[in-house]
Amino acid sequence: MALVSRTTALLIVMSSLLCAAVLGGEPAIESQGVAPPESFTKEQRAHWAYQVPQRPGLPDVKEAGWVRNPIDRFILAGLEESGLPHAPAVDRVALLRRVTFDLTGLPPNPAEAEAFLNDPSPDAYERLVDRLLTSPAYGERWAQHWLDLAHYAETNGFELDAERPDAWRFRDWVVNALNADMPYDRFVTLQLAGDEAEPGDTNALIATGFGRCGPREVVGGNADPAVKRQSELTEITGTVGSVFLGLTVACARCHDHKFDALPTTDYYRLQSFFAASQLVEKPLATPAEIAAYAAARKAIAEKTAPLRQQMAALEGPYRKALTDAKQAQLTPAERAVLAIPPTDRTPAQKRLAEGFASTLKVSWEEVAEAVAANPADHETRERLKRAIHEIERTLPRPPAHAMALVDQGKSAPDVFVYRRGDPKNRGPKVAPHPPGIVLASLSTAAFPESISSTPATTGRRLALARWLTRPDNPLTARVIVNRLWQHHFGRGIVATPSDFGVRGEAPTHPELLDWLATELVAQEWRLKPLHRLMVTSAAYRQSSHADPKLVADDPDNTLVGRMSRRRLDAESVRDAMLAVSGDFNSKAGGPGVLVPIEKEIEDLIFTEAEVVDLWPETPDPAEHFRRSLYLYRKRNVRYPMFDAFDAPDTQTACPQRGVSTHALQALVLINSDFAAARAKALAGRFFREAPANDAARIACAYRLVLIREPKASEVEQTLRFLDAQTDLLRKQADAGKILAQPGFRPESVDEARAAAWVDFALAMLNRNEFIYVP
Amino acid sequence: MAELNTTDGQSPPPQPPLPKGGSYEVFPYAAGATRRDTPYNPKTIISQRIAVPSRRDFLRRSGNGFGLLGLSYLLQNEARAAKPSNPLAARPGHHPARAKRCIFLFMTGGPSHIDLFDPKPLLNRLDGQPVPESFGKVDGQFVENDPLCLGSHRRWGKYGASGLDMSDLVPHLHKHADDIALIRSCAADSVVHAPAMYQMNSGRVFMGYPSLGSWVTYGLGSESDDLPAFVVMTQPEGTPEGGAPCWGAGFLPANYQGTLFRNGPNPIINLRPSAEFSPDQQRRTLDLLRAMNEQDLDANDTELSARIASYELAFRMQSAAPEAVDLSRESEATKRLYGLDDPKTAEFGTRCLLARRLAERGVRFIQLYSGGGPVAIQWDAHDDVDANHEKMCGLTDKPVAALLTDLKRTGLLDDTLVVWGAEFGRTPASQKGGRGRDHNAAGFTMWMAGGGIKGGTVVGATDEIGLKAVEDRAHVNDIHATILHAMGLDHKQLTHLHNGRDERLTDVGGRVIKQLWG
Repeated sequence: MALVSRTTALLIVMSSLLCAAVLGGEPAIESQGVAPPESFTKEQRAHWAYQVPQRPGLPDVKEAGWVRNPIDRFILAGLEESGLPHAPAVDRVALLRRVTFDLTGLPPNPAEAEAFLNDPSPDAYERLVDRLLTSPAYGERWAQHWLDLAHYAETNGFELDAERPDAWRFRDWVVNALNADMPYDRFVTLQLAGDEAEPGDTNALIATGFGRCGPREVVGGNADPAVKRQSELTEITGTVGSVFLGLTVACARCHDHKFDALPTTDYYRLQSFFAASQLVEKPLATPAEIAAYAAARKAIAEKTAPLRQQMAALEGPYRKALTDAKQAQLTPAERAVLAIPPTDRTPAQKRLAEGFASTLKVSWEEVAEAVAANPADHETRERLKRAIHEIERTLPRPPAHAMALVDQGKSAPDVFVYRRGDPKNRGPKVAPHPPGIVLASLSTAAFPESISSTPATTGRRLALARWLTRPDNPLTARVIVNRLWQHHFGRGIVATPSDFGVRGEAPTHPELLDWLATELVAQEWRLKPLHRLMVTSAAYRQSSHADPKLVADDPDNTLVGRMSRRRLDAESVRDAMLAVSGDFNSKAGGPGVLVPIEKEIEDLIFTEAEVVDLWPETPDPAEHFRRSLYLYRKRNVRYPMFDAFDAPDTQTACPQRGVSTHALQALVLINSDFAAARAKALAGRFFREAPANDAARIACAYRLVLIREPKASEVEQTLRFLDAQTDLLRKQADAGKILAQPGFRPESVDEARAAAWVDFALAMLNRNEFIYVP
Repeated sequence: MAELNTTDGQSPPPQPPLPKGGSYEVFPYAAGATRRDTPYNPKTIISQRIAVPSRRDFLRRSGNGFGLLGLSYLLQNEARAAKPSNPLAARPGHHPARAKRCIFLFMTGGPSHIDLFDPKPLLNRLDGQPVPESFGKVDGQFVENDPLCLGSHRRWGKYGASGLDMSDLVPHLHKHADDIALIRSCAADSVVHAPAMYQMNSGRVFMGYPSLGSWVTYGLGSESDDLPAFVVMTQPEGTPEGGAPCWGAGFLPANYQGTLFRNGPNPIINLRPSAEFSPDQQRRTLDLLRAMNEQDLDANDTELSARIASYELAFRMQSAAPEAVDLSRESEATKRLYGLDDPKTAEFGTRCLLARRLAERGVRFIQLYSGGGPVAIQWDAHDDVDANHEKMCGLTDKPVAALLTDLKRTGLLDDTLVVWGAEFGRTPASQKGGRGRDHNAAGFTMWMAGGGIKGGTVVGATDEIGLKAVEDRAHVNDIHATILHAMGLDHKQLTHLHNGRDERLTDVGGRVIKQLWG
C-alpha cells in the first residue's frame, strides 16, 4: 500500500519509524569512526532480487513440439499452467519487420526482404538474425537504449545549456562496444572505471564518460561548492544505482528508503566510490593538433581584428553617448566618489565605485538599439557582425578531449551522511561499500576489506565495478537480461526495469530470468548470444493477433502467450521515413549533426549574447539524412518529432519510454518540411523503380513501405485516389498554384498526376501499418 | 485504499457485476463516458469485467508509471465506454473547482517586491548602510561579505478600498487593488535562475519534472476539443532561462506538455502544411489515410482507433488555432485597452489578449513569459533596478491590468485564476554597492486574482527590510498546492508513479494558502 501522505512533519516521524522497521535495528549513531554496516532482518534479506541467481532446470511441457529453445520451455510452462494457449506463429513479413526493427532500429530493405522471404531453407530466419546481429546498425540501435539510461546529450542543460564538444566520443564508444559484442562485465567496468582498469587506454578513458552524460549546472556566482559537488555526485550515484543495480537508491539520499532496505548510510557508501572523482576533460590531441588549432585560432583572430576595429569605431560614439547619459543620472555624491582616484578610495568607496561601474555598464543590446536608430550605421554594423561570423565559423573543432570521470589522486575526501540531503547537516562518516542488503546474500569475501589505490587513483570505482560484475552479484546480470527482454518483448520479465526492489514488479517468470542471467555469465557476458536466443525463440515468433480468450485473461500479456504490437519509437519513425524514401545516410560516428530545424525551435535556444547563428547547420545536406542517433542532442531544445513521439528528455535515466498518441504527432507527420520532403523522395522512387505503369508503382510503394504486395482492393483504392486527386491538382495548377513534385518525374507523367503521387506517398508514411511493428 | 469521495452528490453509476476475486483499481481517466459521474481519484475503485491482479500491480508499480500499457489501457477504456476520444478530454477534479483555468504571468528574472508590492520604510532609512546583522545573511547569487542596503526610490500609495500597497511602477494595476491578493511571503530554494525557474514551474530545482501546467492538464484534461490544453507564450526576443523544460511534461505522457504558441496566424509548429499542399488536397489525403487505416481495423483496437482520431483532431486544430489567434474581430476599444496601439505595450498586450481568447476557448493552462533571451529583456535588475523595472513594467503593466479588466467584464475572472510572479525576488541590498539588486529566494511577492480569490488580501510578510519571509511563509510547494486547490485538485492526490515513487508536483511539501479565499 502506498504511503499517501508525505508532509514534511510526517516524513520525519515516519523516517524514524521506518528506520527501525526497514533496518531491523537501531539507527546508526554518529561516532568518530566509520558508521558500522547495518544488519537486516531475515524477511528483508529474503527478497527475490537479493538472492544469487541459481541455474534452474528446464520445466517439462506438454506441447514439446512448439519449443525451439530453452526460453520457450519457461514460457510454455507458464501458459500451460494457466490453461492458456500460445498464439500462432506470425507471418514471415511481420516477423521480418519485427526482428529487423528490434535489432537494427531500421526497416528491412526490399532486396534483403525479398531474399529472406524467398529463402526456403529451414534456417533462413536464423541466418537473417545472424546477419542483423553483425550489421553495424545493431550497435547503433542498442546504443540508443543505453544512451536513454545514461541520459546522454551534447549540452549541459540548465540555463546556459552549453555545448559538450567531445560528448559524441562516448556515444561512439557505446556503438563500437556493442557492435564488437564487448562482454557486459567489461562494458560496465570500463564505464565506471576505464581509467583504473586500463590506465593509459584512450578508449577506456572515453568510456568513463558514462558518468558525464547527465545534465550539469554550470553557472557563475557564488554557488555553495559543497551543494554543487553534491548535485554532481547525486546525479552519478542515482544513475549507477538504477542502471546497473536496478535499485532506486536515489530515494535514500535524504532519508532511509521507505520501502527497500536501503538506509541513507548505504546511499552515501555508494556515493563514496565517486568521492575522489572529478569531472575533467582529458586532452587526447597530439601536440601537433593542438598547435594547429592554436594557429587556426590566431589566423582567424588576425582576420577578424580589422573588422572588430571598424565595429568598435562605429559603436564608439554610441557607447559614449550611452555612458554619458548614464553618468548624468548619478547623484553629486556618487559622482564625488568616482572623482576620487581609485587608489585613494576607502574600502567603502571602492565598493560603491564598483557598484556604479555595473550601473554605468553599457550592454550590447543598448548599443545595438542605439545604432539601429541610424539605418546606415545599423546596416554597417550588421554587415560587420556577419562578416566576423563568417570568418569565425571556419574555426576547426577544438582539439580532442575525453569527457572523463577520473579520481584526483590516491586518496578521497571523507564522506559523511548528509541528513535530508543537506551538506550542512552532517551525519556519520561512511566508507565505500556496496549496499548491505545486496551484499547480505554473498560471502564475506564478495567485497574486499580494503580497496587498493595507486598513486594516480583511489581504485574505488574499479572495486565497485569488480563487485558489480562478479558472477554471483544478484542484480547485475538479471537487470541487463531483463532490459534486453523488455526491448524485444515490449515488457520486461520484471516490468519495472530499473526497480528490482520490493516496490518493483515481481518477475512474471522468475526462473526464466535466472536462467537468462546465468546464461549471460556462461556466455562470458556476451549480449549477442542472448539476443539470438530471445529472437529465435518460438515465443518471439508468435503473432500479436491472439486468441480473444488469451487477450481477455491476460490483457497485459504477462505470460507472453502472444507478441505485443509496438509503435516505432521516435528515432525509428524518422529513420524509417528516411530509409524507405531512399535518403538514409548510413555513415557512422562523429560529432552530432545539426539538421535544419524550424525557426520557432531555434528561437528556443537560450542566449544572452549577440550570436549571429545559434544553430549552425551542418553544411553538407547529405549529413542531414543521417541516422537519428547521430543528430546533435541539445538538452533544452528538442526536435519536435522526437518530442512528439516520446523520446526521453535526457534529464534523468529513462529505462522505458512512454507511448502516447496525440494530435501533435499527426501535425509533424503530415505538415512538417521533413515529412513533405520524404513523401517527395518516396514518390520519386516509385517512378524510378517502377517505370512501367501505375499498378507497378503501387506495388513498388507497398513493397518499399510495408514489405508486402498490395491487395487488389488497395490497388483500386489507390487508383481512385490518384484520379480524383489529379483532377483537383490540375485545377489548382491552372489557378497558378505550385504543386509538390516528386524527386523524380518521367516526362510521360504530368505535374498534377505526379503531385497526387506525392500525396499518396505521404499517406503511406502516415499509415498505422508503417508506424507500428506487428 | 483511499475513500471514494463523491463531489457532486450523485451516486456512482451502476457498475457491471464484480467478477470473482474482487475488484481492482484502474487509472482514473479510464472510465470514458462515466467520467463525469465518477469522481476523480487515483485510488478510485471501478470494477471491470476482466480481473487480473497483475494489471493493477502493473498500473500501480510500473517503472514508467502511466507508460506504454497505461496509455493503451486508458484508450481501451475510453473506447469501451464510447468512441475513441481525446486523451485530454475534460474530467472533474478532486473537489469542486474555484477556477476552471489558469493564466500564469511569469516575470522571468525576478521582479523586486521591494520596489513593487512590499514597501520597506526601514530599508530606505538604512540606505547605503551595511545590512544589519540581525536580518541574517543576504543569500544572492553573487554573495558579498558586507552588503549595503539599497532603499527603494519608488513612490508608494495605498489603493482600492482595501488600501493595498503598490508603487508607481504599476500605475495601471492600481485600479485592480481590490481584485488581487498579494502573497508577500513567497520563498524558493535556489538563487540561480534555471534551477529556480524549474522549481517555480515543476516544484524541483532540477530539470525533468512535469511542469505545473502539465500536472493540471493531467488532472483535469482540456475543455477544448480542438486546441492544446496547455499553451505557453514566450518573449519573442528569446526563451526564458531554463528553456523548454519549464513547460515540459517530464515523466508524464508527452501529450501533457505545454504547446508553444508563437506570433502570427499559425501559432503551433507544423500547424499548416507548406504552400504546396492546399487544405482541400490535404483533406483528401487524410481521407485516403483514414480509409487505409480503417480497412483492417479491429473495432476493439482502441490504440489504433485513437491514432486515427488524432489526425481528425489535428485537422480541426488547423482551423481552430488560427481562429483563436485572429484578433481582427476584437474591437478597437479592446485593442486599445491592452495597449496594442502603443509600440511599447503592443507585444505583451497581444499575448495578454490572446490569453483571454484562449481562456474563452477552453484552454486549461496558459502561461505567458515576460522576459527572455538578452539580459536587457528580463526582470533581472542586477545593474539598475529602477531603469530595469521602469522598462519591464512599461512593457507589461498596462496589458496585465487590461487582462484583469477584460476578464472581469466578460465574467471570466470568476472562474479563471490569474497568477503573477517569478522564480524569485530581489535583495534589499545593492549589488556591489550599485543601483541593482541581486536574486533573493528567501522572500518575495506573488499575486493572484480571480477564481474566487478575495481581492485586497495580503498574505504573509517579509522582515522589515524585505529580505526574508517571516510570516506565513509560502514556499513554492505551497503556491503550487494553492493553485491546484483552486482548480479542484488535491496536490497530495495528484500523483504519478515514476521509478518506484508516487511523484507529485509538491514533492514532500505543500500547504494550501486558504486565506486567499477569505
